[in-house]
Amino acid sequence: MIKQQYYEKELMPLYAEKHKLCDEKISYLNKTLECMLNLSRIKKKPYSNKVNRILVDRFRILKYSSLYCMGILGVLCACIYPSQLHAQNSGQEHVLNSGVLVHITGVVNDAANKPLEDVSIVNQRTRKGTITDGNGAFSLDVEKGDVLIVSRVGYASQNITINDETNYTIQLTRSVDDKLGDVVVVAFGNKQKKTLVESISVVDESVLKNRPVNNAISALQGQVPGLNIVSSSGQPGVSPTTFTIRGAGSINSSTSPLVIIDGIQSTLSLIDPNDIESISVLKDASASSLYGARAANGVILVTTKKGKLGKISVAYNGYVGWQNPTDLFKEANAYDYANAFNEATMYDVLTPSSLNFDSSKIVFPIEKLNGWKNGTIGSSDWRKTLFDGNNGFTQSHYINLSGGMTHEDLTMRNSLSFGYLQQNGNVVNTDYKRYSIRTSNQIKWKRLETNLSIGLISDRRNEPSSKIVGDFGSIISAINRQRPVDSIRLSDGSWNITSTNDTRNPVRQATEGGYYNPSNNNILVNANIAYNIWDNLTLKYTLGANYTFNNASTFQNQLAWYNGTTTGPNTSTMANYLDREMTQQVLLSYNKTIKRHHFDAIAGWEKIVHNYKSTSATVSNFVNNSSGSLGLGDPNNQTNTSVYYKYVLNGVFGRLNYDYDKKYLVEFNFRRDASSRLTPSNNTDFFPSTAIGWRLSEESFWNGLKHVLPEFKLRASYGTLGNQDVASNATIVNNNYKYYSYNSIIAPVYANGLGYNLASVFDGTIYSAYTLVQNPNNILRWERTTVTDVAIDGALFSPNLTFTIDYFNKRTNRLFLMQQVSDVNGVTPTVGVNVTTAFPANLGSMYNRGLEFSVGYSHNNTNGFGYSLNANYTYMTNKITDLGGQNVVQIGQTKNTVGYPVNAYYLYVNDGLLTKDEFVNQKSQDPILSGQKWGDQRIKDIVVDGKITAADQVMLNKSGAPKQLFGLNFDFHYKAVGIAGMLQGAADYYKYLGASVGYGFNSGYSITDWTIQNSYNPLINPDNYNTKLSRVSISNTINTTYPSTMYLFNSSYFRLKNLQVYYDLPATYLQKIHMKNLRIYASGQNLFTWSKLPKALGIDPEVSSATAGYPLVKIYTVGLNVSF
Amino acid sequence: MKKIISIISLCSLIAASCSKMDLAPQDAYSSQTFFTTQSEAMTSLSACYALANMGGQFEGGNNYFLDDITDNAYCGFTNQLAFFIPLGTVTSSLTGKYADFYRTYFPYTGIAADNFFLASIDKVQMDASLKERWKAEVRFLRAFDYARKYMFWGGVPLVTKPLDSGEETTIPRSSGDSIVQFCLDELTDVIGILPNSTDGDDAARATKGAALLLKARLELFCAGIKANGMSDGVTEKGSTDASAAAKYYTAAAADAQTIIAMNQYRLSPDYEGLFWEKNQGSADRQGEVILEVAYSYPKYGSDLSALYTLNEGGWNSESPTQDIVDEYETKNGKTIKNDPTYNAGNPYANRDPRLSYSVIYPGMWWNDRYFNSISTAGGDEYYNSSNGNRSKTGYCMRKYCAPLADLLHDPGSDVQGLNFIVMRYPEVLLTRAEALIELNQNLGEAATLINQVRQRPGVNLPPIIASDQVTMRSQVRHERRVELAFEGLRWYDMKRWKIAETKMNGNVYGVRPGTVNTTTGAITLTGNNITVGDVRVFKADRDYYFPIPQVDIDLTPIVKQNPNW
Repeated sequence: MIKQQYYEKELMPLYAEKHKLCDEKISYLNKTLECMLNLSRIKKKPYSNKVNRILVDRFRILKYSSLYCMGILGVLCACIYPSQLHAQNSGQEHVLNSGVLVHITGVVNDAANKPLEDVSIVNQRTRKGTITDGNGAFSLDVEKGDVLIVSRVGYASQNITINDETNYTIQLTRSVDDKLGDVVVVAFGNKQKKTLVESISVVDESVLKNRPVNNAISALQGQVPGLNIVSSSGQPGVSPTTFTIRGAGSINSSTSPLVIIDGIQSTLSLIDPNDIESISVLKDASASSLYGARAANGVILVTTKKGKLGKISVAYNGYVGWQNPTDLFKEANAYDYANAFNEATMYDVLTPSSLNFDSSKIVFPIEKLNGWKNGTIGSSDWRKTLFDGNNGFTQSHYINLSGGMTHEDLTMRNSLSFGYLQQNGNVVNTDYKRYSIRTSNQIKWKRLETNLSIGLISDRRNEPSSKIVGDFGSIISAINRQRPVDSIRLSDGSWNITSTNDTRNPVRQATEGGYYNPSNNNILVNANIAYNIWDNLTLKYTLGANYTFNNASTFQNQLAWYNGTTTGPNTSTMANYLDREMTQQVLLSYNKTIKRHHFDAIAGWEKIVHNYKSTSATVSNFVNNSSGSLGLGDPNNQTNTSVYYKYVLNGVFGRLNYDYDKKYLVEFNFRRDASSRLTPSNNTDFFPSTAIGWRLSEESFWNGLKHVLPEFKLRASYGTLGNQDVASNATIVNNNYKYYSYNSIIAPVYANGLGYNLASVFDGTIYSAYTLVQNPNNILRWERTTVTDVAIDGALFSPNLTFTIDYFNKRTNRLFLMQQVSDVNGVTPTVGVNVTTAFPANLGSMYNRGLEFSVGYSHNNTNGFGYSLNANYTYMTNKITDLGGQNVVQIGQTKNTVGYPVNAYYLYVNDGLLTKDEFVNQKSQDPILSGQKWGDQRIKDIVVDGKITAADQVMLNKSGAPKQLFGLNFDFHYKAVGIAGMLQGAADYYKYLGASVGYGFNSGYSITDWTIQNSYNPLINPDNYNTKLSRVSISNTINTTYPSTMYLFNSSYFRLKNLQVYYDLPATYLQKIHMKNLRIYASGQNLFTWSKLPKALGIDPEVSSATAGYPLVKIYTVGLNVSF
Repeated sequence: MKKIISIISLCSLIAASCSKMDLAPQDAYSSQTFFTTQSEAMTSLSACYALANMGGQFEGGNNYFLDDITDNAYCGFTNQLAFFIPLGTVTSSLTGKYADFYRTYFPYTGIAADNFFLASIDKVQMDASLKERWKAEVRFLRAFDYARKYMFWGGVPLVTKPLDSGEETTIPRSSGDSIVQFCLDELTDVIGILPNSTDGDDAARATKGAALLLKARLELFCAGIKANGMSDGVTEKGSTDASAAAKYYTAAAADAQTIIAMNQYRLSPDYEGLFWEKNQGSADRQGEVILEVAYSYPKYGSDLSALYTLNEGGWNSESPTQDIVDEYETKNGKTIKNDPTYNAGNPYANRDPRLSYSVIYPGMWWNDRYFNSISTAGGDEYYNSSNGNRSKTGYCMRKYCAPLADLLHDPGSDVQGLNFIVMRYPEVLLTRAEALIELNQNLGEAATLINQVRQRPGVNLPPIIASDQVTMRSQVRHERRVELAFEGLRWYDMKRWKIAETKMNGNVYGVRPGTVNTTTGAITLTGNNITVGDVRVFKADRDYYFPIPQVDIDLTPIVKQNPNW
């Protein structure tokens, strides 16, 4: 994208100016054949004459075309070209013959003598020119005395005067602006960083390649201020799910950013990270408003790698490695478990009148305890057994073939890549495989440019599934309820049935219980054609397609157990969906420079049509477990479902940039979107934004400060964005609300208590019952997010030390909430117990405010030592300001309340532990709950009425979303050897760790050693009421019924996300073996973690479900990157 | 080059021209595409029936369970609203409970379906007389819903056409009288349209007889309200109005007489088998059934597990009380107090056979065992066992619960195909009898009507003899309670007779502890009747009217709450 625009702006006019074509009387095809036959001969010859050069070039065109001819457009252009050659058959050769032509060749290098491609070489006199290829090489016909202007974005231009020499070596140095001169991908175009007034953070390839991550979302973690990514799971093939820019801006709608890959909406999990050239994270309204109704959560623009000019270059990136859980939740061993269980049993039966422990109540006899203690009886580590089931081997291979040529009016670039990723999990039957193919083809001819890029991804995840326990998450969760005193297998090798009968040995379930295999097949296509109509006015038409075919097979086995019982019946489910989105864009762009006034404008129109179709069929009762083919099951035991929905988004948008001398900067954006998801009479919304910037460092009065602050820019933006994902997170909302809200919907009525759709039976026939279940909702609008952003961009002391400080205030109005409807209305899709009729409406508001800092520094000594550091920090707060008077129901331990963050904790307050004295001498006004003993937690009687009721819960200004985020990238290298890495962290966020951490044995859970050690212990230390946790209990449900602040844990952490040691083969050796670069490295991920959570618990601070989820993994890899 | 510009422009134009933004769903029907054919109209008619909530499913009507809030039965589950109502601890905000009568019967889901049907049916091309009949059926269902709302709440908002979202907030409660008048007018209309019978194996469609009986039921209820001077919960203070009562009694008697004169209905010789699936469709049973809700095994079956005994996989959500057990006469046609042959040590012997057809009591032969809820030998079924699903009164429901040998389907199955009877002929006879007695007319005829019920084959109790109004009033009330026990009518009767304040305050009693001989079934009772649960509290100035759910008051402040809630 960067280069494309560069060509458009800089080189297209040159090409368009004159057409140098010759020898066109020769039949194109004949010549082509001839040159194919004579290929070897021609190739060896020097460029003795132009005919040969053209032939060779044309052959290369053919070669590339056949290599990369993967789409209609490529073929189309290959056809247009020869016919145009004939049409242009004219006597233009005199142009060439008019002067004394000298054919010169040359190479352009950077300061480190590395070849520079895409350098523009323009003859000042004729305005003709060329660009360098991937080896920095160029050739041109010039006259002696001509001046060549050698320029490249980000580098200082040079003028070269042609003398007698025919071979030139030119060295370009970085311009003073250095990084600020970089080009940044923005919505529908590119901009120079120094004139940027939007809030955009860029993650480029250099950062990505330092981390051998397996998905693009993980690659972004810690890189961008304001971007919060929490890795919820370390399971192979599962991408992070929490993913927000500048905080979650909605309660009931999606909070994930819009992801655009090469201009087309897609998903970050559906791209091989090796294919990524750069990622721009658009954070404020002015950056995002061209995406209008989809942009409220920010936008992530991914640019993939494009072909580079020059001979085919081949790059290979690969690694092999192993992964292991960062930490496993640490349950007590059999002795500790049994001992604590005995104590708790005795304790639970105490009453004020019977205060002595009764050792006859113990469950595990002393002999067994001793056996466990001295190891004569085995103790089971269920979790370790489960997570030792697979080897955790992982490998990734990626090959990219890239090349391109330019000849006179024609430029072609192609890139083709293949990627393969394989990950084995640590749990048996877990793995993931991903295959990717991506190709990009560009043809430019005169004023015409076509691009075709196609990405194919096919992946497949395997994980266990179980009939009796459920999905994989449930199987891991069931581990919590296994006791170390139960063996996993019996002495004869058969699988044990554990005390929790409903889970029936989760290790066996993972091993033999069945499988769930979801597989995605995604095609992402972007085909576009652009034409430079006049001057700097370009018209571009883009057709994009994003198709995902997903299919998932589940087979849950029937299992026979040692005692003759079976669990089952076996069940097969085959589900698949097709999700397709077609995008069309028409874009008109124009730029103009009048003296010091620069104008840049685009106007566009975009239409998106989204279709989703799924079918799912389930059949039970197979004769055996060997095949889940649906026809083999019992036809009387089957269910089928399907889902279909569609929506259309239609937008027009425009942007105007103006700057005076790159000093005063102004930008206006707008988008007007219309959506089929809202009522047709009121389905559009207008999303404007504006931004201004002032580069003080360009002012004359700044001269005195220039050595301290060589670059200093103030910028501010304000604008509005929309969130079109109507209530996508609200669980009670169905597709009729989400996509067809304005329709009168007629459908069956679901009876919640009965669990099926209502019907009537007349004379033995069942008649489906259809009636009006949804009234038209003509008032529903998009959530509207208004973002204010004020920022300073600058450089301190040196252009190499850059910084950015952003303040943002993101306010969401018209927040979707569920508006309750009076029963008198009577129109509802669901009836029965626990049903509240409600529909989505725009009722509330909330804000996210914060500060973002980022600092970058890079330094290279002449002695070969160099380093770079990039750090970022974010502080943000989130608050609900209005809920439209709705009483939003409590979800678990959290609640949404005005004045508090989204999903803030809503808990009883712990007030220490009850003492023995309080227990024995209870007074009537003591709010002691029935069943409580001393050592139990004292729940604070907030309303002071002598009893603990629901009113004693308090809202806390704490939630599971971090208020602070940190990231630090570093790279130190000395000559060929370097060490690079990334530290990442989050602070001010909390996990509620009740069951299995705090609750002890309650609800059949196991217990951790940490819990035993930190609980009040009446036997060993009866006077210590200052323990972290209350007593361990078996029967006491107070801790579950009254969730309190005692179990709220600060999850702040800081971790070494990645560390890489690398060796780059020096250039001198590379040349000898004809290579461009070679790096070998060893890398580790998630190596060290500093967390506020007790280390002894073994809970990864990032994982969403602390005890039931798949923990994050440490990955150790060795890898090789080569290109030649 | 012009070509290329044209191509780009053309593509753009094509794309731009076809952007339809007004989409209709595929996973449901939208009003534009629905309701043009007779089969579509049939699905809508089916919805009107299904949403009328006349059925007996645990969560699909709850009608059986209405007796849990009367002196007939007890519910011991705190997750069911019926637990709280008799204790007087219920509030209008209490939600999330099963068998929640307030939230089952107050919502206008059925009425909205009826109004939608009536507003749409004229779009359908179909046989005109059939269309008129269907309309009449839906109007019957709507009247049924309003009549029930009136009987529970008094006046309610009267909605007779489809409402837009928000429109409901402008509709206040109508007076009770106007709801009654609406129902009677509608029923009078549809009585002329509905057929005498629908051909088939069940009585699942509204007929002339059903409409007449609904009308009589409502009239009898109104007569009681007027006679007792009860308010309608909205506008009227309520004062005794004997003439209005007489008017309604007269109308009820007349409507009942019309049904009798149709000569279409008769009493089945098998009271017990009326409630068993295996007899459905038989001429004897269908002769008695006027309206029922039908189910179909297995796809749309009726779930009886809430009623069945513990050992049969049920959980006894409705346990008969000692009070109803004592209500059954002895074989001699006398109350247990007045019959010297009654033996308190062997209380279940020689009783009105309908007791053993309706209630499982200790010592009854039940599914290969003598039922024992009175001693620990009964295992989990012992009234004081730790199993939460046992009957807490020691009595279990026999009506609806056929012995396993008489089930048509796998007893382990969650569902059976038992139809729930909404209306049956004895109610007609007893309605006319009661109306006549209250009017103090034709007492001899009244006695004959009651005797028809008492003397059907299989019941065969001695006849009553016409006497004075007071005696006969208690006789007809007794007969009605026993005959129609656990059929969901008792609450209305207690309200219109205004007896709940005496019957629903105090302890609930259950079995007497003792032993059951496992080989003979002989029982030995040792203790007093057990008390079950907390003391029942009925506030006469409040509890004759259900509260309007608080959420609806909050959303529509124009709707006022019933007094003292």
